[in-house]
Amino acid sequence: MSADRAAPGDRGEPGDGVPDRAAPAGPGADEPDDAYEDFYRRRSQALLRYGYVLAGNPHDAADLVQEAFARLRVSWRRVRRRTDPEAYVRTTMVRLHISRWRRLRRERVVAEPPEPVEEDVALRRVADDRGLWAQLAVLPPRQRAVLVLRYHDDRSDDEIADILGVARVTVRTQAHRALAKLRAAWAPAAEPQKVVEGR
Amino acid sequence: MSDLLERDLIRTLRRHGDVTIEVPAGMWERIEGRVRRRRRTRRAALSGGLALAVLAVLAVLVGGWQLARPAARDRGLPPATVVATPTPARIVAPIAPPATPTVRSVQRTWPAAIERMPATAPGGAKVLPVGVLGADQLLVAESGGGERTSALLRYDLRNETFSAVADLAPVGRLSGYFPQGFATDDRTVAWNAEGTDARGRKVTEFVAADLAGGHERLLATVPGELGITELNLVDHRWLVYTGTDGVRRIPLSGNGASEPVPGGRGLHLTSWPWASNLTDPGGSRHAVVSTNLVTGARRTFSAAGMWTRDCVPDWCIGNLRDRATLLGPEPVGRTVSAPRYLVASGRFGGGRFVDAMYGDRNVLWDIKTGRLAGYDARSTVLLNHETCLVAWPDPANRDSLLVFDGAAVR
Repeated sequence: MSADRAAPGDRGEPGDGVPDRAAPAGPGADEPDDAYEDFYRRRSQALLRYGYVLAGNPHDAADLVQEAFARLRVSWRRVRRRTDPEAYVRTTMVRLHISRWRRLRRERVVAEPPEPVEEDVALRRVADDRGLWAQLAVLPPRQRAVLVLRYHDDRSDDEIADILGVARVTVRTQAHRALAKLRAAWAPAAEPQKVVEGR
Repeated sequence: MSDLLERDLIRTLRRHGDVTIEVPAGMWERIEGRVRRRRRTRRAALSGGLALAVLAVLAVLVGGWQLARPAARDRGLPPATVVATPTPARIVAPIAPPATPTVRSVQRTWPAAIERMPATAPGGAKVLPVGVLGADQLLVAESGGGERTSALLRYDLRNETFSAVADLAPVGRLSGYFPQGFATDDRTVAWNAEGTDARGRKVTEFVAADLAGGHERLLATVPGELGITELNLVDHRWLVYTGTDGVRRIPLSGNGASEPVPGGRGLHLTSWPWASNLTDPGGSRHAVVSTNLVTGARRTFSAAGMWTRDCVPDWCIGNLRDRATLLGPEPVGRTVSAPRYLVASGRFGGGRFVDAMYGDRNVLWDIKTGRLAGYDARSTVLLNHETCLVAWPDPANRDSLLVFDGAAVR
């Protein structure tokens, strides 16, 4: 399970699934309450990290998070009643990421200044990935999203198909293509390293 | 069961997912801002709805019936009246944005460069502009469901009519067909599309069609996938593109041969006849050498600490000491740096505009005048060295798109 995903007990009020009987009907019914701001405070950084894995750079990650939270805000009460807000935000981020309207812009937007990256100890720590992170950057957004959902979120192909709104066979095809591309440029270690995290 | 690659992938994703990324200062306010802007837009749309309905009825009565007329294949049309987009004028002395800019929308900044077009083709399919065919005509792609495009259309802004140009279907026997990029001149449109052949191999198909109408013709099929890549039509004779080993060309006569362009090995096509050693789409911290593949002339762009993103013949854009910076060629190596608030995404549009972020706003930096103009986050942006095209849903009419063409800015 990804460290980013909220533990069941950590979801608190936004995800408790209890119908909000106090929610007024009609206009303004989706106005946020304090729980929205609380949810933002608790989960925004984790979702930012998720956006970083999804998009590959902190600027697009912030853009995804902002857009997803903006959409959550206008649908807050409805989302609270029906589902887990974090799942809603994550799904929204994935769908935004693969949206063609956004994609055409994002493929031309590389807003990450390189200099801070070099100074960032945390990013330097993860640089030893035999080029996989760089290879992920050149995958089409849908293929990258499939890999993130499968290998970062531990989602099944059926779940991924639901999230992306495609057939299961499409998920498998996209994953196969993405792995083939990565494999073509991937240099395996001389000796397999001990793997702590298993799938 | 996972193999070594999958295990490496899991490790890589999780390590990057554990990286500490501070929540950007003001993100909460930016989210609130997005919500407020959308509410204003909704209110404006609702209040203008009645007036728009009346206007729509009048427009149909007066002559808007053409919008609903089914698209006709171009074969019966007269020869092409398409005017080639003029080559962008060179910017000799770029101007940095002011320290405290006033950022208005592109509509308000350059109203004469804004056009309105239907968001759907007569058949009901969504359309996206993918090129400029002249002052009065756009090349648009019709959505075939999901992210696929199914046809190319020409939209006449003055007559408000669509006409069909080409079907975006595989000419060869390919499955999983996905058109990627388009190139046009005054006669032809060409594109590259990825697919899988009968043997299960990934291939890229290059196809061309006459803008005046006619059959799509297969120019060549090459192994591998290129994705969205720079394509240029040259002298009505060649389609030039960046292949896996450098700049290559395919004759428009359609003999199926792809050959390397002399002097272009290992280079990346920027805009014909220029190619450079800047092959990584993420940029490079090394000196960039642009080469004119016709004359052999070379220009070197180099500044210590510069991370270069993109280059047009006279300037490179990148980041120097945390500031978006334009860098001129040696020996002078002039630099023009924007104030710190501006984060350049690193792409030129039409040789005159630089795509950038100002706070949470998407902006275009006009390097000729130093002006910044914002565009909607939902916009489709087509930026290359010939074109700067931004299209977004018309807030006043959801059936329309507003289109900004940088070439129309005077």
